[in-house]
Amino acid sequence: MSRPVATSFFSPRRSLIIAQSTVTQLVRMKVFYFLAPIALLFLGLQFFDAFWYEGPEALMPEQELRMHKNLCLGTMMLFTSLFAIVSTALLIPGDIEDRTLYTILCKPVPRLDYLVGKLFGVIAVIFIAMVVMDVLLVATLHFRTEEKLIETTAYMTKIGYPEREIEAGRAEISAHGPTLLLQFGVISHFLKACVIAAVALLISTFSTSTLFTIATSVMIWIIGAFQSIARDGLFNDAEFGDVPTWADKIVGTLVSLIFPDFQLFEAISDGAARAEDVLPADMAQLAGLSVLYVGIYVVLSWFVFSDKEF
Amino acid sequence: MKRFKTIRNLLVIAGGLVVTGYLRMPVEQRFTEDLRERKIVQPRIESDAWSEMGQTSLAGTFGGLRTVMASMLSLNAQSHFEENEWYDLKKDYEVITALDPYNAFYWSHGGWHIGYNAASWARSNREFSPARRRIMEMDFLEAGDEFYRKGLKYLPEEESLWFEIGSMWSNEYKRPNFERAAEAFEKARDSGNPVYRRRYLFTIARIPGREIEAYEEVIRLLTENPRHLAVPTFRCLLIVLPTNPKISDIEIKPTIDGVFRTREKAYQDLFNYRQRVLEEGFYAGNIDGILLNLIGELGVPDELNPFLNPSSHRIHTEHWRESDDQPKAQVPDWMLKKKEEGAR
Amino acid sequence: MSDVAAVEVKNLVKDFKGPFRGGKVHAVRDVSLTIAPGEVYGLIGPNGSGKSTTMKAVLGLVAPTSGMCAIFGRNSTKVDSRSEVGFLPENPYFYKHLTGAETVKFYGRLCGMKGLELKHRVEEMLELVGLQDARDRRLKGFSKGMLQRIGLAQALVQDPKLVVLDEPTAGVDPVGSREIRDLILELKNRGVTVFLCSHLLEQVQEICDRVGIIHQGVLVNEGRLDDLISLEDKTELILENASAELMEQIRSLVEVTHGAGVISEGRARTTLESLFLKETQSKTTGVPAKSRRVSK
Repeated sequence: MSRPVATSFFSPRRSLIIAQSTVTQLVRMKVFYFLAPIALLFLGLQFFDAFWYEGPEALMPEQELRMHKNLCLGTMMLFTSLFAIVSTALLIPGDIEDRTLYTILCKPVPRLDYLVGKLFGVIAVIFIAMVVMDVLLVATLHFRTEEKLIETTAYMTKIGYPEREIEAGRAEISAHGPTLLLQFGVISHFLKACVIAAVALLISTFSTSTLFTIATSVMIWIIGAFQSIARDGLFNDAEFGDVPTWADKIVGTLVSLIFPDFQLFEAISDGAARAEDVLPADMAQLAGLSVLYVGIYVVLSWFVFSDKEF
Repeated sequence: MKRFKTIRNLLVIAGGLVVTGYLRMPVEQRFTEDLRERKIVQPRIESDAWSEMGQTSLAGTFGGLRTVMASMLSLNAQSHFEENEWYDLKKDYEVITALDPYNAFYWSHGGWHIGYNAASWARSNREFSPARRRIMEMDFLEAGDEFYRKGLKYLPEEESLWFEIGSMWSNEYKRPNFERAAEAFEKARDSGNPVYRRRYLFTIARIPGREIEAYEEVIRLLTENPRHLAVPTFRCLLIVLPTNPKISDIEIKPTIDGVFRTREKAYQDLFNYRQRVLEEGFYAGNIDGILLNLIGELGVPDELNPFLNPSSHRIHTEHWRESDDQPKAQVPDWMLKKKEEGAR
Repeated sequence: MSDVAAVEVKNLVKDFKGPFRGGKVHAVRDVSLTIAPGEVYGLIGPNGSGKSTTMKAVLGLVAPTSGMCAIFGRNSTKVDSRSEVGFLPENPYFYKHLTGAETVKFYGRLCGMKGLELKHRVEEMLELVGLQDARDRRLKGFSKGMLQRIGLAQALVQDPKLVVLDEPTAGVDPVGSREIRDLILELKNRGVTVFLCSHLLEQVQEICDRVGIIHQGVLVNEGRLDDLISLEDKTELILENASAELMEQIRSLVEVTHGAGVISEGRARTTLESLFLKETQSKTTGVPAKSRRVSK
């Protein structure tokens, strides 16, 4: 029988084992069943026609496609964020209550491996769900875009637009279809979900109840949407016309330092949905910030969890 | 001991977040400002918009679902339109544009509802006295104008909104104010869109005292893009504007043969232009004189003689033998001469 | 045998926060014990005496307030110390979504095992604990006894040198209980150190080499089992097919011996467990229970 070698500080292999077990656990909890109503929603949007918008007030094709994207991306964001919070909040307390954690930690498993494994298990499930939703989004958007292209081409040809202008119109519609830019929006929501999961992980290490973890994580999620306002107030003192008081500055500083800025993720996604020029460099920067956030929260979680007694 | 540990842990967490916060804050701020400059980050929601938001919109904002809420509200706003609830619709669009200010569609649609639909409703609503109707109509027009201009603050490159302001103020079925329309069309014309450019021309051609400016504009447009000659009103202005006494001393004037394909076509276009003079206030100049000459020359039948048979009808192509309505694509000779002189 | 103790606990003190402000609960007070390699050590005591806390301190699940615990010379608080340890908790819970085989495999992988070695080991463990038929059944469908067995399987999967068992036979029927006991003896024969806690004193008596008695956090007595429970001034004699005359002679002999006396006499008794086993084994299978061997 081979004897195990000395346990290292961190083992990606062991974390992967725990991550795989977490994925199995969540899958067997049938979490993917939620994808059914989401698929129905996406397919429903495919056939949704703002029929009351006719004549002069008819929605332009770009606006219809934009609405389609906004609703789908918004649904993806909502689901993945809530799932990240709830599943992470349930996992560790669940293991502690069930005492499953004892048997794991009695093996040569450093606590960091356990935390990282749990977190990455949740992230893996979110990733799988995102891929499925993304495929649905791309498929429905593709068909919708094709429909609009055919309609618009026929209309413009009938009116007598020159070929050049018809091509320009088609290009504008296609720009709102399933492009690479749209994937930036999907990726930004995935990154946001990873950060939120890490936040929930940190809170669950010192929280005494799952409900507290979920409630606090949701609050942080909400505050994170406004963190940039507080930060703006620090960097651009009187830009908005109000001179901040000392209390404003203190609160603003604390909010900016402690809470993550989720507006950046939303901005990239909105920009992608509007077919604005979101660059790969922007995505790289966002990914870098996400890695930083996840890293900070994991390290702090480990600090708390490392001397926790069971 | 346990309490000490809890306090220690919380302090370490807070400390860790604060230290890393100091490191990441400048990076995030620079990133945000860059995205804001490129109009990827939405601007702050203004305080009056906050107060108008319902609970659902607020909840959406808190959850980072601004654009989704804007989309849903815009679909919902249609019901106010159907019920003629203009003040509610205006409020809705204020919230919608506060949530998603970089979407030109909402500014365009909102301005259209307020400046066109609401104003028309006010004008034709017999429930109110004529004076009241007029006041309400003007209020809605001003509100529409203000709404569009607010949109232009967020989207200054969106010339289509200037075009819509101009269209609103030059609409003969409302309370046309060609000075305001011209001001708006002038801002739109810089986009290079030929339609916008022509609208500016057509607007100043309806403002007494700006004929010289109009003539300079029509020449400028023709020099830049001879395809403007495809538009009948443009062709007519090229002929009619120089009949203004203040422009009479120009060396080279466009001729009918140089501008129109045939004399018959010229009569058709000028006849229709005269209707626009009577109905829409276009510059008249010596249109009557020109038409009379053509009537004598071409032997125009009485039913198509506006002096014998005044009517509001237009002459259509099927009245004439010539069915080829293609514009002259090449630059007329008289224009070529002017260019050469300019080059010298 | 190695000089390094399998388990060494030195002046272990563990306090917990009490129900009242500023109060403390002294769960373990200055406990010291040593378990030699290859020994079977039983820690017994009433509920709340500090047995589980001591065990958790040895396993590194709780940090000592003061004192030290070591496994094969390695500090218990270090992760390395657990590479040679298998632990079966009291009322074991495992991931209910996993099957029996998946559970053993999961813990084997956490110990660094992989590939064919792990695969074979999983089969071996399932056979050892008699759960081959339930290998593909999810744990949420397992009975208490089955959970106990799978717990044993995961504790032994990496072939540890020290096995820590907290109430190993709790909730298990007599047949299973006997098998677990046999297994422990088998482990002992192979040189594996066993540290167990149990309320079932008869079982502790049967298998342990050394016993510690803990009460209110204090190790009140400790030593070799034989030394602890033998009554020095009393002798037990069990006779087979003794006639009445022989009994009379023995009584007479005792009476004339100064200082000796007959305290009681009567028929020797078997145990209820032995009787149960005898009755149930022969009736259900018609053959004696096969002995299972722990492979090397």
